[in-house]
Amino acid sequence: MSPLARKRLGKIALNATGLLVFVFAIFPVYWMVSTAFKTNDQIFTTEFIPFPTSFTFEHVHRVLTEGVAGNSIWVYMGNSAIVALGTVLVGAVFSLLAATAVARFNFKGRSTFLIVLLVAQMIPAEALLIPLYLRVIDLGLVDQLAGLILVNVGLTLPFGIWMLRTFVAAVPKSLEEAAWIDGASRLTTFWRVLFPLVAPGLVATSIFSFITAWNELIFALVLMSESSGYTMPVALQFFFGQKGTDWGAIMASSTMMTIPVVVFFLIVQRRMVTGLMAGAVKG
Amino acid sequence: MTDTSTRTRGGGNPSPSGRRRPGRPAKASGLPVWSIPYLLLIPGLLVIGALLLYPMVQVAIMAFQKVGLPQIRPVNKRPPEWVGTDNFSQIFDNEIFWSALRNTLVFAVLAVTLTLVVGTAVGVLLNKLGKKMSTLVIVGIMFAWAVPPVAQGIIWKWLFDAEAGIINWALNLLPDWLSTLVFGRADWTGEPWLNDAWSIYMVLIITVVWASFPFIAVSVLAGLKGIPAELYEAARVDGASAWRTFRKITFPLLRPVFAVLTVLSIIWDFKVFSQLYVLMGGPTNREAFNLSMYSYAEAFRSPPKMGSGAAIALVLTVILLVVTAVYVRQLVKQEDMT
Amino acid sequence: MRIAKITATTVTTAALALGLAACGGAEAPAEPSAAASASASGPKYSGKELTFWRLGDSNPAAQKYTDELVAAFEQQTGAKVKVEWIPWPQVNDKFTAAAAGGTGPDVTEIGNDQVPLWQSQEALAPISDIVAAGDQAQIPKNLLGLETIDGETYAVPWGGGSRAVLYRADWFKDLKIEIPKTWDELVAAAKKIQEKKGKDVDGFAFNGGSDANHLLGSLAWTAGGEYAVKEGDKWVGKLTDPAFKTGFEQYTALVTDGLSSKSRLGQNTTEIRTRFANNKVGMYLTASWDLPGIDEDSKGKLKGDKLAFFPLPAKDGGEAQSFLGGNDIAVWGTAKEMDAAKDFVKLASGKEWGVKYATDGGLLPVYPEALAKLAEDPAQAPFAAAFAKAKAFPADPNWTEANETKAVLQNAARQVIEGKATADEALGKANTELENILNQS
Repeated sequence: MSPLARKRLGKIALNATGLLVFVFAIFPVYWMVSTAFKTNDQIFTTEFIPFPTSFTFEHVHRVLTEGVAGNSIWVYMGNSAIVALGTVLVGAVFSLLAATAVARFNFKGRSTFLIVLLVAQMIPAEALLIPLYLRVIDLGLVDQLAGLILVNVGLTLPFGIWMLRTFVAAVPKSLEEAAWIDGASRLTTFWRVLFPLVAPGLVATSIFSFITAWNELIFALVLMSESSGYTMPVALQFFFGQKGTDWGAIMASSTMMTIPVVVFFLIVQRRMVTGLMAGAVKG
Repeated sequence: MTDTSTRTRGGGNPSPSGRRRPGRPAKASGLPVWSIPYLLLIPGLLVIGALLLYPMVQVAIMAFQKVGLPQIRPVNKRPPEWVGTDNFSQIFDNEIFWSALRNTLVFAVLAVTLTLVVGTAVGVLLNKLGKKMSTLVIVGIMFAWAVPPVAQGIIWKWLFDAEAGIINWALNLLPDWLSTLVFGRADWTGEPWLNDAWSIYMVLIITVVWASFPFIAVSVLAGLKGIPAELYEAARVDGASAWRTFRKITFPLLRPVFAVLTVLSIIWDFKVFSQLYVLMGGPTNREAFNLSMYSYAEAFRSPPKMGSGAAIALVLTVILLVVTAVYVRQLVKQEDMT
Repeated sequence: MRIAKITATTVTTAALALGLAACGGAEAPAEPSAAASASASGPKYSGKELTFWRLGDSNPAAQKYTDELVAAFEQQTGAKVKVEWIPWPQVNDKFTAAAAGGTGPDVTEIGNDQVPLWQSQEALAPISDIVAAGDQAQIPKNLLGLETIDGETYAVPWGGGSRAVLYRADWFKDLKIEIPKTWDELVAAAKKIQEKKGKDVDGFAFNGGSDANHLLGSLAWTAGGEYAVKEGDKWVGKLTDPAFKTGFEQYTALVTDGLSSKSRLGQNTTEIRTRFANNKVGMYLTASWDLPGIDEDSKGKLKGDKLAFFPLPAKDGGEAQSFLGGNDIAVWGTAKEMDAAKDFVKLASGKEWGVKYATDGGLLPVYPEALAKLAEDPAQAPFAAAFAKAKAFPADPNWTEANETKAVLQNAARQVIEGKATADEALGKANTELENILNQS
């Protein structure tokens, strides 16, 4: 075989493998979406029906109106959004402050703080379930979204600070120093110089927190006992068992839950990787 | 992504930092400069202390107490009762604990290994693909990565459904002789994948690998892009094989990346809960519990035994901390030395 | 879960006799009936709001009864009542969360075998005064066995019930199947159904979920077995007795003989009911409270003479020991409106609304006269028959942990079905575990 032919063959093989990976990754997602739009006849069959030829909005309509556990899916989407956004807002402010302290100042106890951050990240959230549950009870926040926000802020903050400090540190110090020399106050410097440059990092960190809070199941499961306060991950459990497994409705709801995350991922794809890696690798 | 500014100014000099740059103006607030970082840290420290560190201490205490509903309710609360190591001897006596421990460890080893292998292979592949093709694949794997854990569980539960699942359909497509040869059977209709502990974990591993290999792949790709092309050029001139090139150039240069990816994967996989919860339909099949699920079931199923739940959680935490200690030490060292 | 014991001696006639006796003595106290007292004092709770938890699905019949009851109470007392429905599989989680968070209702329906557990968790308020007077004094005292702990009563029996085999009468007719008189006939009928109606149909559905012991218990008791008996103050497990093993093997054979698919080892009655409504089950053990749900799930296609009950047959003919129990109504320990809550329970469990609760909901009334009347109805005959042979789970607060949380017997059955252990091995282990659970303080 000529080297050229071999090279071409290799290229074809590479592309074929790439395509295979693509299909492996995307097919389950596609299957979720397509099931959401199939009629029950086409869902409960032992045949393989690649496309919903009997395209229907019945499941989407049903989960939006009738919903599950007594509420429309909108209620749960709303709860999830409130929890995730609340977590992001509180978390962003706290982590920006702490990240600035760690990345811009050298102070006594800085290394200790960094170690604490690291160890805090290693603690499995599941281990904290019991004491945090008791804490939330003590605060009287059972069945309140605020309780869930509080917990999620706690769970996402160490990583948020850890991730954000690299973004802060990446902003050249000389810029701020120039501003000081011009007589700007620290606050002005922070707001006018540092903040705009850190903003993209803050967005990435926030989206990370958003997704974590959006996806969180176990705390929502134990903290929310009223169905009107369920978040999406909890509400989805109620499709199983209660009235038999209504796969059409489950897939319609799962699709709705997945859409915001996919959108965010596509927006910050590159920064997520940088952030996650930078958050963890030092030097 | 390196943060040289921090490093050059980093530890080793414990004196308050403000002093180092004479002439820096202390503005507006009138607060001494040295206090600024502490002020900035207050909210974060409060949250971490109150929501992570103190609760962890509480877990450690509760593991030696009997804590049920009368001890936690807001009205008419009873003090918890000290029971010494009873909680531990009770869970160690129970076979559920040992199967949960085994499930946790075996799952973590398999899932982490497979995720890393598949992810690295795809990362290397992405690096070799043309621009269009690699963009396509990246977008594709992004979707898998973005799916929330609960939805991941749901999707794969559906694919592996006994009656209408596509996996059983596909296995039925295999020529009978092949299926019989490989699996010892030809008919897969109604095969209940989510019944036995071992097959639940097989599905769980597939689910978790499917959802987490994209992150590894994209990270490895980012790392690979940073390796100078000349190195590969030189290897090619020397006639080195692809495997040799990977072993001698790619792997050593990406070692720090792999270290991080491994630790992150371990942390994520050790305590997998959402996907397992969905695949099993809650804590139903006790043989398929992992430590997270066991702790949850003890503490929150009636009658709630928060003490034993805490004891299991403590075991899980200790295992995780020991496994990741090496990594933490390395990071701490870097933090201190530079 | 939803139904528990009414002591074994509760034969219909005995209950009737006792009830009549109680009836004679109970009229004497001056305490007027709930309705009378409420109307006498006018709208004494106006502006107050009660939360009332009902358990199960809000099917139309149950919803209608609840609406009427609530309306009657609201009219008499001026209080508002907020009703919340809690599906059976979530009851324990919901109770746990409520007891822990102090967010419970004022009044709740409760399975009578759950009363010892929630009493031990101090989640229920004592209401001995309610059962001591008025209509409630007519409720036979032997029906208060699980509700009375250390001399205090914590719940009022609301409706009793037993389980029988619900079957597809239309299929039986099509396939010319006679109503099984022995266990072997039942197995043959199930096989025939599967043959004709498809392999994915369960001839007789295996229940391995949260209420699995209702089925297993019936089989084991019929064979003469017991779960555990109390000797002194210790529970002694009886799972390894040959009699229990016979019933247990009958139970696991439902799956190993293929009457029920191996892919649904964890299904509970609610899940079986849904499959039944979708033409995927030929027979299963339940009670008439499932009928409204089946009607709804099948979109009105399955009702009337398409389905019927027969008593679970024993191995060599005769009726099996059915599991028997009931639902109660209780006042939550941390009720915000304690007085109003007690009055609500008084009204709901009084003769008028208590009997209506049972008859509308497909249960047996706890009032002797109403029960005697019901027993004349041929449709209720299977239940009346089963009622005569009641058996009980161990009456212990820890039973729920063995029954649901640790699923001791479900797990043993799974081991045997999956071939990981023999019945002897599995039952041996389960016996030790059951003893440990029941005997913990």
